[in-house]
Amino acid sequence: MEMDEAERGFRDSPQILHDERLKTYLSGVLCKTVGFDRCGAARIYVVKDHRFNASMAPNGLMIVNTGLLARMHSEAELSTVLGHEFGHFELRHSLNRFRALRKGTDWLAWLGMAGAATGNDMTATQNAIILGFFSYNREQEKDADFLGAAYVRSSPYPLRASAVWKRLAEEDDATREERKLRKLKRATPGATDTHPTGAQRFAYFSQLEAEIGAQNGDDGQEQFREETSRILPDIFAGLVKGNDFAGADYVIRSRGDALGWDGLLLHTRAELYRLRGNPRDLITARQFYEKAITLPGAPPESWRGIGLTAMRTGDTENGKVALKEYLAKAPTSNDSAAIKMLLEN
Amino acid sequence: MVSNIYRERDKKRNPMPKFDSGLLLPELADFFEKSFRAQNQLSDYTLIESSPATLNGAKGLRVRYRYTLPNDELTRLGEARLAVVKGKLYVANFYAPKLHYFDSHLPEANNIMDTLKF
Repeated sequence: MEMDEAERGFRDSPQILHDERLKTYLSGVLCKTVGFDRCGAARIYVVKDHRFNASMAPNGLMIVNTGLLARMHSEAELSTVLGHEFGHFELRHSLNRFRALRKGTDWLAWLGMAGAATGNDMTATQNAIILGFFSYNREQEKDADFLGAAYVRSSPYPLRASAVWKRLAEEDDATREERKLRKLKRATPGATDTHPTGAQRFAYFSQLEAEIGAQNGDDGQEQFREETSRILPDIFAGLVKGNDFAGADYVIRSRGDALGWDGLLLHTRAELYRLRGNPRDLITARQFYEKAITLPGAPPESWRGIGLTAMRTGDTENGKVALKEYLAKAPTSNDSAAIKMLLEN
Repeated sequence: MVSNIYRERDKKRNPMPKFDSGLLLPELADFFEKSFRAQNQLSDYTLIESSPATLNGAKGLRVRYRYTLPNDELTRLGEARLAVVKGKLYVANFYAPKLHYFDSHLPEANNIMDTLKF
């Protein structure tokens, strides 16, 4: 009941990316992974969150972050994550945890009472706590990993899980290097870690992937590229406008290397560099924008980027030409008045 | 010299974007967005409009935006004014829940921004 109530609030939340085509597509991948007889139990919601995460509640509510979609390279990779979350659901991990917590103290009821007593609306707090319930222990994560892999093995997809964990480790290394943080040793988990380490997952998935027949089937990379390129700005916005330059650049580059560079992806990388704005970044960004507009899919904002980076680096004349082009291509953009003012000065 | 809009409390884990006096007027909206996102750990921020405005008589930018906080479904709106004077960035920012509060207090916030002196 509490979960259904939470889901109602969730469904109308502005944090949900409302895109029916994407939802249908993701449901299709889940169905191919776990089987059409099972997948009807899940309802997928895409949440605007740049972090790599997905989860599934005991009533079938499945959450997929935009940050997860940004980091996947094929349907096969996506199927391992969706299969893993569905594994938690099938093994009733979240339900058991929910029950165990409800047995001792009725936190939700207490919170509601506290809200009534202080006159505050505690609904948001309740949602946060409900979602917080679904953290599992290391053994459960491992069980879900193996069940997820078993789903994929009996699906039309090849098993492609180890590459995901390898890239996550490389992304984390890139972030830590830039921020001068100590790199993590990932061989064995610490006492409080809730998940097996990336290295452990990489190791056992590599082993499963090497089994005979595990690599049979189409990984659905082309289809995945097409469906996610359509909504690229939505799934990359949080990464590009966040403050983890090295991590974001790693994610964009690895997608480009695996799926090819179109105008929109190259534009995304150009934005990342322009927004950091070190002197050398402006020159690099301009090169990316200029390349982007020669490729299919470049948005009008690429001309905005060329204009701004050109003017910042002293090439006012060409900068103004590009900004005029931007206004011609997107006359009703949300910053057209500000751009016009820049052009007048 | 301070070069962030918000204080950088944890340089290694949540670094704040640094202001560069070379930023062009429309780029102030980008800089504001990056700072506001980092300060509030936002994933959901939409620029509604950025347009010319004045702050203490100086040419500047008005930024209207919409956002939600993590783990909170309430839609919020904001309006900021930014201007660069003698290489220094001045920011006045007003934000509130969209439901009732933003509209009812916007005239007062605008009045403060219109008469701001520095």
